[in-house]
Formats: sequence, structure tokens, C-alpha cells
Amino acid sequence: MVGFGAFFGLATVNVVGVTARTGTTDGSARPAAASPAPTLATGDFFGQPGAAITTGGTSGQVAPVNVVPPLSGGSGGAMLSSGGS
Amino acid sequence: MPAADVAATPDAALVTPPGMLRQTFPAMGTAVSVLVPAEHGDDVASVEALFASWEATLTRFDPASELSRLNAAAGRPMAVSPFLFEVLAIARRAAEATDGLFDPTLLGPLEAIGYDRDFADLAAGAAPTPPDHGWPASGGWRSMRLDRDGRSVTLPAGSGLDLGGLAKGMAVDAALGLLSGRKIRSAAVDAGGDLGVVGRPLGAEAWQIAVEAPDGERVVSLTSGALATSSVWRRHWRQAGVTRHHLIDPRTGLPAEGPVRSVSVAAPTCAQAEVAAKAAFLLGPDAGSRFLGQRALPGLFLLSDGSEYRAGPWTA
Repeated sequence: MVGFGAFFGLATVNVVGVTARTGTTDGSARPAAASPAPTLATGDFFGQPGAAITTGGTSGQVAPVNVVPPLSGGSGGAMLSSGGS
Repeated sequence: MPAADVAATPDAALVTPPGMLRQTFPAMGTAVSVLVPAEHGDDVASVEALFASWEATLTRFDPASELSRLNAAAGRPMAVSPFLFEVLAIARRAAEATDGLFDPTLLGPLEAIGYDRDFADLAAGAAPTPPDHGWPASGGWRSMRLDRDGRSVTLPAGSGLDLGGLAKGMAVDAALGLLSGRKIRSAAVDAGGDLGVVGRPLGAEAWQIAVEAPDGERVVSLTSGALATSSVWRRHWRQAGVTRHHLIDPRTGLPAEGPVRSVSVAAPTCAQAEVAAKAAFLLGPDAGSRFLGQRALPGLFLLSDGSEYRAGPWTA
């Protein structure tokens, strides 16, 4: 069964109309997901209109401000692991 | 420098927030872990089904997959599913946004360095010898034709697609979208290190994530979006006496060289994080840092001499 979803930040979702069902532990069936084809927000792949780089990495627009960085130094026991696959 | 071995962090070594459960299943050549509130455990089956569907369409290791059939049809147009068409449209935009540092048409160079089979099989045996002449070209995406009206794709003759980490990143995003659509307010999906989150973990302010390295993990704290790592710690092998890894530099068609061993990047989506990490890895510490800074993407570089530094905006 096909169950496609999309989640691209500000992306709109283009639903193409297939619905999958999956089983549950109580034996009932429930919709898995409508099958939206993945889409992107406007702008370039990183969501910035017109942003581009050269392989020298020296060109490109300044990033938007007022975005709270989601990353900081962590501590304690890790819940997830990222090692490059 | 040969890559060092770093094993994937086992689930048993990771903390599951109280009130949440973790389920892990194999998909897309890696282990996928899903963290959801305990009462939403049934929803993990849908995530597993989603990954299975993505893999069935996008794997290059199954000659019957739609991607493999498109590769076999290189040089002539082929009608494709709406799903594959949109995936390829996004892949091309990723290539454009990185001036080809992310290149979805690296199948030829990957196979030339021996990565012509699932990595588990490659790691278990000797890689085939490299071609003795005519190294496969990179950059085929620039000539890839996407006809939206006819929903057909024409790959340039002699080229082939490998969506690799981008496909995994997109599947993570899709899985998070699925869980969000079910009003699940706290969840994480981790596909072998390409991961994304919804909300905060139950009982905590941020997701604590171990970034793996041979000399000890670094823990970072993620409050939203996604994190992906491009590294050579895990996927490397020997071919004709040479250490190979899977991060091909499209400018040379060979495994990337340089001081960077690992780059982790946070971004709004896992697909973006994956592509940004790959680009930053290939650009190297200086240009890679500028690349991330220009896009307000925080990143962590780990270098071969054991040093590390942060790029882009971080919360102190």
C-alpha cells in the first residue's frame, strides 16, 4: 500500500488522491495517509528566493533574520543519534 | 586519510523520554527509529508502510523499482508516476541550489567505486575493480528533462539516478507530515542519522542528539525541524587497495577528499538538512561555513585532526 506524505516547512501539499490503510493492534483499519506528492515552498530549495551559490561558496544572499536557530549545545543522555548513513 | 569506523548508536544506549515509546524497523538500507507518545504506538505501522513505499519506488538496488526502470531508459523519455516526478523535480532544485554539489545523477561514479550493491553486501565482500578507462561523468542532472505536461522524464544517455540520502530525508519529512496530520504533537523520526522532529519531547525542552565520532559523540540540542549528518565514519570500504567512501564529489567523480570527516546541519526539513550537509562537506570548512551562514543553517564540522567547530547561527 502506498502512503505518501509531505512535510516541507512552508510547503503546500499537492494531494494526488491515493489513500492507504494500515492495520492497528486492535485489528481495525485506519487511513494511513492521503498520498500527497512532495512539494517545496517557493524560492530555491532552501526556501530563499533567488539564493544561489557558486562552488566557491562566495556568492549568495544573506539569510533571513528573526529565525531562532533550532540548534544548541546539548547535554545529558541522547535521545537520537546522527552519524551519517 | 582512511575513514575510521563508527558503529551506529544502538537503541539501548539512547534515552527514551518518559511517556514515549521507540520502535525501530529496517528500511532504505538503514534502521529507522520512531519516537511517539506511548498512546500513539499504533501510528508507527503507518510510518513503516510509508518508508516501505518510498523504498520500493526509489531504490536503485531493485531492478524492478520505478527509479531503476527510469535509469534503464536513460536516453529516451519515460512516463513516470506523479510521485517520482515530484521527487525528481525537488532533486533538481536541490542540485540547482547547490550548483551541482548535490548531484542526483551520480549512479555511474558510485558504481565505478564499487557501490553497486546494498551497503551491507558491499561491506561483507570485496568491491569490484574500478573501470580501467572512461570514468563515468557527473552532472547529468543539468541535461535531465522533466516534462510536467506529459509527466515524463528523460535522463541523458549514459547517466543514472541515485537519490541516496535525499530520498531518506524526504521520507523522514513525509513521515513527520503523516504524524502531524494525526495531531501527534511530539514525535521524532530518525532514518540512520537523518532525522526530524515534531514538537518537543515529552517532559523535556529539546531533543538531545548524539553526533557520532570515533573520539566520542558530541551532543547537540534540537528544538524543531531536522538534523542530518554527512560523514565518512560508517560507509566506507576497500577497492583495489584504496579506501572508498560514498560521498562523491561531482567535480571529480571520486570520493571527496579534504579535512572534513563529518558535517551535521539543522534545517527546517530533513531534505534540506541532508542536502546542506552534503554541500558543506564538499565545500570544506571555510566555504562550507559561508554556505551555511548565508542560509541561516547551523552546522557542526568535525575534522580529521580531531578539531571541531560550529557554523551558522546557534542558540547559545
